[in-house]
Order: sequence, then structure tokens, then C-alpha cells
Amino acid sequence: MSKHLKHPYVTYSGDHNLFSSLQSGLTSALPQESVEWRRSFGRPTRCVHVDVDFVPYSEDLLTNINTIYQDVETYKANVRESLQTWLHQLKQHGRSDWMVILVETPDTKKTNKLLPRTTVLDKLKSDFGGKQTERCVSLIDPTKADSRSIESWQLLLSKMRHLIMVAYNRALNKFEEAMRSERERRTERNWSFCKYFLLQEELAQVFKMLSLYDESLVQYDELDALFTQFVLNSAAGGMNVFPLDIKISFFIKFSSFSTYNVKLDSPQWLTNFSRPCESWEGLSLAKSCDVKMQEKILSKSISLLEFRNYLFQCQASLLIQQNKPWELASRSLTFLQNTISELRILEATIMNGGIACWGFLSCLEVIQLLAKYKDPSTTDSHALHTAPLWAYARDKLKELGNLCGLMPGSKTSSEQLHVVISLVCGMGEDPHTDEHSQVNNTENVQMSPMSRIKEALSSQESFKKHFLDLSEVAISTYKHIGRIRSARLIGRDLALFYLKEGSLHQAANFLSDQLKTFVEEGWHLLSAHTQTELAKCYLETGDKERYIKTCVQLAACPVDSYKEIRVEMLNNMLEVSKNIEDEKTYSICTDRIFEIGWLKIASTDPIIMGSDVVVQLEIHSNLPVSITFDKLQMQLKQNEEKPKKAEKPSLLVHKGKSSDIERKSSSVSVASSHSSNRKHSTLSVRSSSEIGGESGHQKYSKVSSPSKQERDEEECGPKNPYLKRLNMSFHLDYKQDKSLSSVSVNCLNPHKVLRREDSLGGLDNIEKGIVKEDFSFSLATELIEVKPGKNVIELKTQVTKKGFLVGGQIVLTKDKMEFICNKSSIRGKPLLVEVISENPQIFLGRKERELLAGIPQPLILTINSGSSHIAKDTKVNLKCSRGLTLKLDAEGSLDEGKENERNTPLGFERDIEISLPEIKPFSQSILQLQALTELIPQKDASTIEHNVCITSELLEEKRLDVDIHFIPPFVASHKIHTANLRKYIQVN
Amino acid sequence: MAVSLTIIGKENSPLYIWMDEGRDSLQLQYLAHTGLDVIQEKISVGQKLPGDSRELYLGLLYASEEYKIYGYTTNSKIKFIVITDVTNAALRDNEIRMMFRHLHSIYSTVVCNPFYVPGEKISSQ
Repeated sequence: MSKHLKHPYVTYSGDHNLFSSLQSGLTSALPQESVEWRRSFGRPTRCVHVDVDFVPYSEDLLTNINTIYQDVETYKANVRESLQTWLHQLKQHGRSDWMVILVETPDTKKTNKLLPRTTVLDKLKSDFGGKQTERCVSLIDPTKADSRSIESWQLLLSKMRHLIMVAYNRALNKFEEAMRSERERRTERNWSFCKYFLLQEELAQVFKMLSLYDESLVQYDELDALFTQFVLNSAAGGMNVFPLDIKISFFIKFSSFSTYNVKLDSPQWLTNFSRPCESWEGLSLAKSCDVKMQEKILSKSISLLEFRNYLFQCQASLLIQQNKPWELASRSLTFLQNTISELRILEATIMNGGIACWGFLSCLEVIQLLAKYKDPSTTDSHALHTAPLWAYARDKLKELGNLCGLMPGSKTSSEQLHVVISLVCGMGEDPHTDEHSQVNNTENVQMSPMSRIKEALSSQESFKKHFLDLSEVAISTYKHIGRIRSARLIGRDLALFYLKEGSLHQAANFLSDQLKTFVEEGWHLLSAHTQTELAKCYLETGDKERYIKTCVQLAACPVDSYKEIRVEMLNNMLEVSKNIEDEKTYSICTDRIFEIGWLKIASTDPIIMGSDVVVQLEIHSNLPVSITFDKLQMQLKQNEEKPKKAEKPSLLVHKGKSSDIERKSSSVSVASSHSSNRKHSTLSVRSSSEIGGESGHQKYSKVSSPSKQERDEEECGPKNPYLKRLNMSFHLDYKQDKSLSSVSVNCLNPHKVLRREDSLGGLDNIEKGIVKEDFSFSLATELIEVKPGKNVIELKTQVTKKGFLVGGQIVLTKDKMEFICNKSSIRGKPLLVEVISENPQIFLGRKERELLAGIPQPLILTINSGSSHIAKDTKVNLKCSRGLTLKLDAEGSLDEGKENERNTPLGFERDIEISLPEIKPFSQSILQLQALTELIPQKDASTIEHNVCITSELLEEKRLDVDIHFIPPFVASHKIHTANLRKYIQVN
Repeated sequence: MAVSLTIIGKENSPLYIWMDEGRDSLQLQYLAHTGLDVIQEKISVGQKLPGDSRELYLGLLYASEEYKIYGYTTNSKIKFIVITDVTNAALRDNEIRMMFRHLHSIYSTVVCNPFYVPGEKISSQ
């Protein structure tokens, strides 16, 4: 079982010529079918293909013996004897596996048929078989192609396979036994891991030979874990109980690793691994088994790095053979990191940059190997692992760049050149040189890791090229697997690279990408840090607008440790903003800088057209210092129609309107909704008959409005969805006899409340751009100081149109900067102002009695001021139609009455002018008049119609005609009666 | 002893961050933030499999050369991230798991506090 040869040996003796005629057939036929391998220790049975080499019998080697005997009658004479000596020799060598093949020719068979039990086979069996008669097999001449001979050939093969397996098992058990006992000795002073490693590796090789790659891998994994554990233990120093790696505990099941709490100081052999590493060759996965390394292990002159490389190469090749490249991929990074930490623990000195070189080479080696195994269906599973590998390789290259002065902005000193040279030396030979030259022609040119690193280290330009290359691949691979944050992190690193290089625009792009992620997810420290860098970028590029925006954002960030920077940034920003030359103003979104807490109209009076509206707003400043703004405006938009109720959690100012409490009712239940007004919900349960009439429709009843303050608080609640109140109502169930059956509380709109919120959107979104809307009509105030924290500010404007005004954007202006707060960012209820404008109205009417003609009758002149204020001495002209005269009643307005009296003795005139008293808005003034109609001859009792024309500035149409009807007090009629010659006039 | 502990809300914004003193808090935060990537990946894989979703411990998210980053997520998508030193061999998988369990129960206590507004930053006394 030497590991350098591929197959186990089976020796043969006896008739060599005869056997060699069988040999080729056996060698090719044996591995064609698998044989079941039953194993000890309860391990699962495996199907194995055996593959053997036959060699002539000699004294020293061998496990399995195979003899051939030509069948003749001479058997008894000499064959028996030589067989006996042969078996004896075997026994002396401690070999217990043997086999005798008897080759028969059909002719002999015939003769033997007559004499059963006396064939050579029977003889053999009885002489040597003992209990193992199956070890003697007869073979009918295989050169004949009849069914009998084929059958016997197959029988021979299967027996042979079986026996070889038995031999294997025996040998392996023995070997494992030895290995275990060797392992048990691991605490002894002179025990050497290297020796043990080779021992167990042999076992691994056997499994590998049997194509049991997974078993073989287990052996290597055990070795890996054991080594790791030794290293960890040596680091842990005096600890008694050593934590088992999971990996190991997993393998315990398999091999008896169980007692592992051993006292171990750093053992002697381990110090060998602490010796300085002089070379840092990368992994080379092309070769599976490196004899040179085995020799090095044997001579204990292997360095840690070499050892780890070797072990990983073995594992890798087994994984590849199992067709599990993804597992190889997933192990790679751990392997790299683990090895580096082991180097650190063992304090193996290695030249600066050596590890980086090794890491870089190994990473790319693995990636290239994986690329070979890539097929479309497995792209994803690879990318998941290659992405971190790319990133790792990139990091390592960066490390090298820093070390060798290849980063932009630094110059390579001669010392660093030396470093480069020695690093390149330490990498050894490129394992890909041959392969590379061949591949070159066929495939697209892919540089071997070694040539890549060499080129990268050769000059700054090529370093940059490779570095950017790697970065790009790493970022895109990360993006491909959906790890955006990881990609962004590399982007940030790349940005720093660009910053050093002076490519500020690229840097700014990457940084702002990253900033977006941080701001969206509310990682303040990270965003602040990114903003600081971004601000630098913008300052350098002279992008004042972005610079200002970034500074303000930074100044407003809630990170304690940045307090000083925040103030500094703000001052810088103000400085810059003063020196803006161009005409343009800079629009800055107020998100995260200022928050508008609430808005309300200051006055409770109705707002009349033409008057001033005063609106208070609470603004919360996140800036660290006070800033005086030139102007603060709030846009107002005209809204002709009253907004729908849904939008109306409003600051509606309207007399007599109070919030309604909805009362939903049905024939069996009465529910009161509107939880926010729970205090006020004076719920009255009405009898069902009464409610029944309403057929379950909604009914509104007015209940005194809840105190405004309270409502404000509720509706201005934070945006946090957790804090939304549930719209609960209680529900009464009645029995048929109208007695109460049950009371329950339920939620009216569970669908709405329990609806799944879109979790994709972050907390804060960066708005791309913000546009100032039309501010031709706005509430404004000037020179306002906004302190850090809460401020309450009053805004004012005159309203000139009637209708509904809706609050829109809010803008704070400072120099050329405009901080714009979008309507959607304003918390609390939106501002809604109703501007009222009602025209004054004048009515002329009578009192309850009908008017009589001919005598003074009272008339009433009513003036409604509407929304306007009527000044004193506003004139109203009344012009009557012919026959009607008017007089202002003295009681109504004494002064004017007198005045009028001067003109006519009776005071009745056809045309009078009345001066009104002062009338406040929404009030009315009543003036009493006297009307006197002339009595005109009338034949019937029809009413007398008169017309009064009222003219006044107050009236919209300037002129108002009022018809007044008078009833004649009496009707005179006459008739002429004729009696003969006499005429009589009858007057009624 | 862990190096850093972060509690992250549903919307991936940090609710609570604790860093061991004297550490580069910026770097640790970057690590924690990047860990979210892996958490999201693991959660979304979990959704595909209808199997047992009770296991809240996500195990090792990833490791850098200095730190190991472990993750845990509650059913309400609150994430815990613990960062430990790579060299710290005393913290094994089981210890980390226990740490997370403990953390989860502490977090539940915090949320149960009627004065705590869910989704707001948590401060430690």
C-alpha cells in the first residue's frame, strides 16, 4: 500500500504463463462492477470499484495472494506440496488473504463428471479451504466463449472482488487501529504532527484510490481540524478544557476524537511551524498531490503557509472530484482567514506584504478554478462565494499598493522597490506558465494570478488598472448576488482611492451612492462620515450647490460626536453661500434639517376677504446654532371647491361648524365610532324602533366640538405607524325582546389597520430634486431667527379672494439659499383657510300686518352686512314710484328723521336718502320706515302696487327694485239707478 | 465578550448601537451595516423554504480578518448583530446563540415598556 503507486498489489504465483494469459482480462474486468464493502464500526456500507495491479509473488510485499494451478492428475504429486509451502510462507508474513484459482478445460470437466467429489477443486477445498472454501475457485478455460465458461469467469470476478475487499477491510482496520493509537499519543512530548499527518494522509489516499472521495476528504478535514485545534490550544496557553470546533465535534462521530481535554502547551513540533516563512507561493490547485511537499512534511521543514496550501490543495482536489466546486468556493475564504490568524497565533514571521501576496494569489487561483467549473445553472451559487473572494483579493492588492507606494499620490521609493522585488521573489514560480501559453491561443486571454500581481506591482498605472478592475468585478459580483451594502462599502473604498488620485467626480459619485443607503436606513454616524468626505469632494470641485446641501445635511445630523464638525460645517456653508456670485438660488430640501411640527391659524374669528390671515407654525430646527433667515414663506393655493371630507382634518375656520360625531346605527346595534373623541361621545342608545326607521343609514348628530387643543395633538401625531390609533367602536347586540344581549368592542377598519405596510421604502428618502413652486401668493414673515429646537413662528398675509386656501410648500430664504419644505413633509394637519366674502344685503319688508293704503304704514329696512364692514354714514337711496312716499321712522333713527323732516312738513317723500349706522360684519341693522300711499280712485278692491327702488353702493347690482302692495282701506263704488226720469246715484 | 452589538429595526435603521470602548466605531458600524446584506439574504432564502421558521439565530453572517459577525432576527424583523473578535475562542456558536436569546428577551422587555415608542431609538441606562 505505498501511496506513490496507484493501485494495491495482488501477487500471483504458480503457473506464471497461465496467469499472464488471464491477467489482462482480470485487470480490465475487475473495476467494471462495484462490490459492496461492509465495514466495521457501524459505518455505512459503500459500493466500491476495485482496481488492482498484479505482480509476481515475492517475499516481502503484499496483502492478497492469488495462485493459479493447472489442473492435472499431478496435483496430488507436487502441486499440493508447493501450495502448502506457499500458504505457509504467507502465514509467516502474517497474510491471511489468499485465493486459489483452478483453471479447468472442458475436457477434464467431462471426465470428472463421472467421479463427483473427486475433482481437483474438491481436493483443493478439502486440503486447504478449511472454513474458507470460497477461496478456491475453478475457472473453465476463458478462451472458450460458451456460456459455462463466461459464467465461471463472472463468478471468479465477483469472488475476487469480494476477497480483495475483505483483504482491504482487514488491512484498513489494522491501519486505522495503528493510526488511532498514534493519535492517542499526541500529548506525548516527542509526538509529531507531521508524522501523524502522513499516516492519516495515507488512509485518505486509500479512500481516494477507492474513489471514496468524501471519505478521503473527511480524513483531510480531520487533519485540518486537528491542526487548527493545536494552534488554538497553543494560543489559549494554560487553558485546560479546549473548546472543540464544531467541525471537530462533527467528526467525533466518526473517529474517536472524543477525549479532547488535554493539557497542551505549545508542543515541540508546533514550533517548527513558527519558523519564518520565506516564500508565499499562492495556492496551486492544478496539482493534486505534491510529492515535494510530502517530503518537506516528512523532514519537518515545511512552513505553515506551505503546509496549509498543501492541505487545502488536497481538499480542493477532492472537492472538485466530488464535483462540488461551490463547496470549495465556500471554504476558500475561511481557509484564507484562518491561515492568516494561525500565522498570527504562531507568530511566524513573514515579510510585510507576503501574506497579502499569498492571499491575492490564492484568491484568484480559486476564482479561476471556479470559472472553469462554471456552467449557467450554477452561476449563482458560485457568485455567492466568489464575491467575497473578489473583495478579499481587492483588499490584499490594496494592502500591497499601500506597502509598495503604488497608491495614487505617493511615490515609490527605492526601498519600496526592493520590497516589490523581494515580494515577487517570494512568490516563487508561476504554476500556470505552461498552461498559460497553451491556453492563450484557444481561450480568451486570462492572466494567471501570478502574472497579474507582477504586472500590478510593476508600476502605478498598471496597479491602478488592476485595482480598478478588481474593484469593479467585486462590486458587480456583489450587486449580482444582491448584497448592495457590501458593494457600496467597496464603492466607498474606491471613492477614497479616487480622492487620493484626485478624480473627485468619481469619488463623489460613489460616496453619494453610499450616502443614499445610509440616509435611507438612518445610520447617522455612517452618513455623517460619508457626508464629511463628500463635502470635501464638492468643495474641491467647486460644486457649491452640492457643497452647501451636504454641509447643511451634515450640520443637521444627530450624531453627538460630530457636534464640533457640525458647527464648523454650518459656518463654512454660510461663508460659501455669501459668496455665491451667480444669479441662481439654491433650493435645498428641508428634510432632516427642519421639521414642521404643526400649523394653525392664530385667530379664531372667521377670515374675511381682504383681511390678514395669521398662521402659526412650529418649526423644529436640527441645526446646532441659530440662523436668521431673511424670509419665511408659506405657499397658499386657491382651491375653489371645498376639499373633500377625507382631506379635511382641517383647521377649517367656519362659524358654527363643529366636528361631527358619526353615529352608525343599525336595527340591532348602535355603534359609536370616532375613538379620538371618546370622551365626548355621549352615546345614547336609542330604541330600536326609532332607529329602524332610518334603515341603518348613517345619522349625524352634532355634539360639541372637542377642545381644539386635544384634537390638534392627536392629529399631529408622529408619522410612526405604530402610534396610529385604532378606530375602535363598541357594539351592542340586542335580543329579540330588545334586551341587551352582549357588548363588544371591535375595530371598524381592520383591513386598513392591519394592511401590510410597504417595507421596501426606507425611513427617509432622499428626494432627488426639489422645485420651488409658485409663491405669488403666500404667507410670509421676514427676518426670523430659527433657534435649534422648537420655534413658533407667525406668518401673515392679506387674503384677497374668497374661497378655500390650502397651504403648500414652506420656504426659508437665506441669502441665495432656499430651504424648501414640501407639503408632504409637513407634519400634522394641512393648513386650510376658508376666506369668506358675503355681499351686504338690503331687504325692505313689512311687518306682519298687511299694508293699507292712505295711511302711514310701517316698513322695515334690513341691512345685512355680510362679510364686510359697513362704515357709518353709508348712504342708501330709496326711490318710490308715483303715489308712494316714505319717511324714516323717528324711532329707528332719530337724527336722520329730523333731517328729513326739514324738507317736507309731513316728512314723507318720494325719494329719501338714509345714512346707515356703522355695522359690523355678519350683523344686521334694522331701520323702520313709514310709508304713505295716495289713495287713488279704484273700482275694485285689488291691491295697490308700488315700487321702491333701492340704490346703494353696498349692493352688488347697485339697484334693487322692491314691489310693495297696499290694500285699499275701502272701496267706493257708485251706481246710477234710474227710476223713470229720476236718476239715483248709489254710493257704497 | 462581544465587541459590538447593534439592534436594527424593521426598516434597517439602527435602534441601538453599542461599541466596546476604544474600538473603531466607524469600522464596526460598517461591518454591522454590511451584515444586513447577509441577513436579508438568509431571510429571503428562508421564505422560499416552507420549513421551520422558528430558528431565529442566523449564525455567522461573515467574517473579516479581525471580526466575526453574527446575526439574529426576530419574527417582527428586528435584527440583532453581534460582532466578536476572531481570536476570541471562548465565544462558541452556542454562547453566541445564548447571547442572542438573552438579547431578544431584553428587547422584548424594552418594547413592553408603555413609555417606549416602537421604532424609536433605544437608550441604555
